[in-house]
Amino acid sequence: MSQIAIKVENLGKSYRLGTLGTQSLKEDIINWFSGQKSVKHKENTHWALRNINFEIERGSAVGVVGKNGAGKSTLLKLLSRTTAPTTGSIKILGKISSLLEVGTGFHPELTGRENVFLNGAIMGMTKTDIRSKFDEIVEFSGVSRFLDTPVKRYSSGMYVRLAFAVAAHLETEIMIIDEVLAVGDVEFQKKCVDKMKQVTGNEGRTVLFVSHNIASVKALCNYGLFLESGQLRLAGTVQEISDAYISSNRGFVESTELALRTDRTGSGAVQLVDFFLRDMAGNQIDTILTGEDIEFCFTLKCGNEKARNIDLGLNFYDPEERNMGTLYSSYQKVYFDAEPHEIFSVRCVIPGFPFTIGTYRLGVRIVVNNEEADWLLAGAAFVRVENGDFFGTGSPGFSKHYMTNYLGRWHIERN
Amino acid sequence: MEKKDNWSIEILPKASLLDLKLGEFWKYRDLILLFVKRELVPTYKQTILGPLWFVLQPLLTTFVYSIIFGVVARIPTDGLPQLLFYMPGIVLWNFFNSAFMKSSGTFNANSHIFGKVYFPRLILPVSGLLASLVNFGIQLGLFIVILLFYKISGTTITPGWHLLLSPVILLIVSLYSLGVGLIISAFTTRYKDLSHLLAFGSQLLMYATPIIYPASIVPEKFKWVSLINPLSPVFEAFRYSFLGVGQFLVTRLVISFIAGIFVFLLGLVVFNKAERTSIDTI
Repeated sequence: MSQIAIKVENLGKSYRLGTLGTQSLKEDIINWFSGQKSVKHKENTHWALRNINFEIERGSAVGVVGKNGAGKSTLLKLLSRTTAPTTGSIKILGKISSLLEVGTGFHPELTGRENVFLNGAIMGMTKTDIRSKFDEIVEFSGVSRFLDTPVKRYSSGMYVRLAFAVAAHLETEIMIIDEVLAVGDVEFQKKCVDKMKQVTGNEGRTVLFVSHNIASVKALCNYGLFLESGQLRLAGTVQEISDAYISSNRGFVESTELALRTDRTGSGAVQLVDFFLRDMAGNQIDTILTGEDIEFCFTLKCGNEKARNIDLGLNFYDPEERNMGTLYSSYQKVYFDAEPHEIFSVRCVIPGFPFTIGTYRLGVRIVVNNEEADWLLAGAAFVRVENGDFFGTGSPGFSKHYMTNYLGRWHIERN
Repeated sequence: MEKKDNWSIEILPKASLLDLKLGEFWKYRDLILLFVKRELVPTYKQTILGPLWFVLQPLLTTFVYSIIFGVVARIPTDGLPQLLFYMPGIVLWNFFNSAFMKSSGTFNANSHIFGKVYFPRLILPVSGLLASLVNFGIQLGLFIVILLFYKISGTTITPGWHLLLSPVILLIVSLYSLGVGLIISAFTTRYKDLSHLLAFGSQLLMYATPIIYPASIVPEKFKWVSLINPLSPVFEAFRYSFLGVGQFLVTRLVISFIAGIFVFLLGLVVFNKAERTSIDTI
């Protein structure tokens, strides 16, 4: 016997493109009088979500995945009622709260204690609720010493910890959790993950978890929703969702030219425009053999201004989206400069490529003067690795069972 | 199987115009008090004089008006000491203006909260009104102290039984400050021009209301201003209740009251419609 906690039918949300100004006033007036939307209005609409249908059973943990712009945040906004849908309906059983609004309504002049009450009430708790949870919240946040200090004197870490503590102690049947875990120090992050696991483990509580990170979705959820360009591509078990998401990601990365990609964050001071692999003979290759020396070749383009202290990093994600290893040029004290509009190449040889058979997603991040300049959200490329002679002995090892090879120096001693 | 009415929340594209969700509003009553506190407490935090600012502010305003309008412009005050004449109007105007400014800025000032979490939006303008009411109470107390001081030192002041009607006067002022404020806030989500006009408009309204002058001195050709301004009889009546000067026009008060109820209800409906998608356009 399972109950439906959230039922979404034919949900759609459209936004008007362009700016609001005198034109929009004129249009509004015309619309009011004619009683229907003008043709122009239709042309200028963008559907952030369209024809979404799904049901979520009570007590399940559902991961919502999708690229930027797929409609995840719009779906969250609709579920948390900060804006109304254009079409369709959402039906919810029980109280709903979301952890994406950490610290909403915190007033800098008020003390930590006062803000706990205010923030809790904004999220729908009564005074009595908060009072009964107060000690727990304070203990969780770890800022008990500063409770009577205005929060404007808090460090940003303390601020976020207190805010998250309030949110995490809401007693609602349905929780929406965004990737807020990127806050605070490592110890606090662990605390948050544990808290989330506890929440999801609790009987009867339904959790929606929104993330780019497939690995954490897999760790926390049993079902998933995969959104793509405003449509629901797939609803299913977390394994199905993760497979579909990764393969769509791969299709996108492999079919789109790097220079034309728009799924990037960063200032754009220097951007990655091309990438390829070479063996030591200088031939361009598309498959790496484990143990081979491989040259990673990056073509970078400098923006309008001279860039100094450029630092380039690459990391490899395994098929489960776990980060297998990261290398920044700065780790080896290598920095470089670029002139405005210059196109140049950076090459990095990795001797004895350590990862075993499989397809790895390569992430590339460019940092200029400690500020992120370019980061491709879906990764720069997918790298295929086949068995090679890593150990130089012809032994393939037992590589189906692990991801990384390493060499040792052996000594045998006898008395 | 779930029954049709079992859902606790149903989110639909359009809500009925008259569904004002008052039950939900009541559920969030604790939040109203906390917002009132949030409005009031920071005004005196980190000041040397602390809550004293609540009374200093109207005193200083009255002082400035006494000099400009009394001493320089020599506007008559119905034979009363200027301080005494200006104060009830200023105190009541402060209440109106602060509640009005707070409610008309609801969407613009709180978009960061509204974009993230849902609660009945009406809570904010209502808390703004209550916070203004607290301020008003303090200032009124100060005025009464000054009034008694003058009375004891021999000035002829004759407060009437009309004082008993001052809650009604407060109610009328509240209806207008909230009602007009709600309407304006709903429109500012799309047209920010309004927020620029606001400070100017409120100042204009202040001079169109008998606050720093008695209604009796308004020249014939400007009488219509005071006739169409629903706040005029209210402010006159308020001063009359305390000081016994000016006019107490029952019919015009009743008209103001009824019109105020309509403005307020219109405000509620418009606001309710705007709150659903305010965050998309702001």
